[in-house]
Amino acid sequence: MTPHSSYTPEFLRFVAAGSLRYARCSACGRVLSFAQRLCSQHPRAALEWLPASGKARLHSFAVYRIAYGAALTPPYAVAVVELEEGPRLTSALTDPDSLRPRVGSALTACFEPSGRLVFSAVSDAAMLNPPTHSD
Amino acid sequence: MTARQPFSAMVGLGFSEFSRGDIGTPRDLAIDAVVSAVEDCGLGLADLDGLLICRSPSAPSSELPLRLRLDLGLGDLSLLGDLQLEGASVVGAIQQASLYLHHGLARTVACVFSDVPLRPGRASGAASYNRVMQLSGLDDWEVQYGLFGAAGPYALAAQRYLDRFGLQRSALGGYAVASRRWASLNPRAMLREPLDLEGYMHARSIVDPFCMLDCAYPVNGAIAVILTTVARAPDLPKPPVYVHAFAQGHAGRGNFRGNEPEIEAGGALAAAALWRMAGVGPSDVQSAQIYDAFSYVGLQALEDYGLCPRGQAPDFVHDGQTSPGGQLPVNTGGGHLSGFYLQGMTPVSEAVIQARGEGGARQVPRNELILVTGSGGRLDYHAALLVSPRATL
Repeated sequence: MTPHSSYTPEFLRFVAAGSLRYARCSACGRVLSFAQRLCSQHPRAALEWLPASGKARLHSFAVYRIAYGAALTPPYAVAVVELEEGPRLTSALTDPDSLRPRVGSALTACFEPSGRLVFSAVSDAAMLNPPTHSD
Repeated sequence: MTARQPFSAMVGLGFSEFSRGDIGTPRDLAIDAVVSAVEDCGLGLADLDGLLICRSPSAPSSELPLRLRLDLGLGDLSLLGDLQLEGASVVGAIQQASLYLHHGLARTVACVFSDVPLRPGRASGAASYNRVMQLSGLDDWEVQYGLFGAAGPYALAAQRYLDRFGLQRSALGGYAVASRRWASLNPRAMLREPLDLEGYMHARSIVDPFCMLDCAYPVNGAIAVILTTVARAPDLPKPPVYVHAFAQGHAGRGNFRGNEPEIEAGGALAAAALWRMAGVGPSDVQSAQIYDAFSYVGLQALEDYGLCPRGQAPDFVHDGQTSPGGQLPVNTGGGHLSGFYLQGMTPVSEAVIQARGEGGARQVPRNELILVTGSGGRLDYHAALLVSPRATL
């Protein structure tokens, strides 16, 4: 059992394939946060990686105004998004207006050409009534 | 209140020089602080039988090795350690020392914190604290989004708070202004020129909603505290500062729907345990010395400890309640924002000064129950003390 060392690589393999997934306990179905490596109720049960809907809400954001000696050029926003399934994830926002986001706003997951997972704004209506095949 | 004996007494306090320039290595400064603290309490280094070492989480342990005991020429020890609880380390070390002293496992223990964040080639505080914090829990995930340093993760927490209570960035400013009022009365504080809300609003942005005045002011320096048993403390020259209660609280709530780890943190857990242990409540606290590396951390702690209602800390502080002359003096040396950022030793040293009555122009009128907090991670790790110059509460 390699509960810690295999977790992030597994998540990243899905992301590299353009799929945002989250882990669930195969014994009880409980969804885990991205910080957990096992279900504390069923520590020996396998994790299942399920595709997320991609729907999310903006939990919080911060706008970097100074460079920290790194690759990103300020200003840029860092977001914490809450997936519809419950877990929260650090990410970025795609919108031109991404430096003035609104906490609680509806988002959807997408992938940049580089493969980086980001989130873009959608209307609240799209969150409540997802498009169906009859549309 | 309880008539139970305190656990230990802080009897010595020692400072190295503080500077933004090169004044020596962390090891040099730690030696200086321990020697000063031992002199302060009228003891010799030979009297120490315990040494607990604390460092910044961004500094390697090799900079402050356990061999510090040999540097100091200490004799046989019954307690030694390098205690790492991030920003809660110093308060955690005082707790550990207090337990050893209370149970007769040690007689006289030095706790020391030393840090040299500012070095040639590092242009700024940001350059010294540019670690990438794992907020989501996925290894190295945050690097690609540029969540560098501590300011960003704490800015995310502050923004969540501001949004929840319908506040603007200016709501944080009162805290910086109150810190500066105290700092202006503290000869050891680094930033002492007057500051008002307008000045705050014009300060350079770092990571919105934080400007530079929301962030700790780094210095190179070290501080040491000597603790001894309650029985021995009254025989020493300085007024003892008794440790009456201590607690830790590390919230297990994950970053998951329904949790608000940005707003309700481990401080609330530690608070409940502290009040139980000492038989007191928030209204009995006469002064608070809070780990406040960012303005929001100070505001958040005031609420976690029930010193004001949730969502009301900005108003409480803006109204002057925590300022000189206010009903609850908070961070009376200027705290981390305007005093100096030596992590947990900033609040601990100020509590000792106030409990002794050595605060000079900033001495608080009521010092019989002082809350001291330490906080680390991104509100992940928390430890606290209740101290008093009185042997019984």
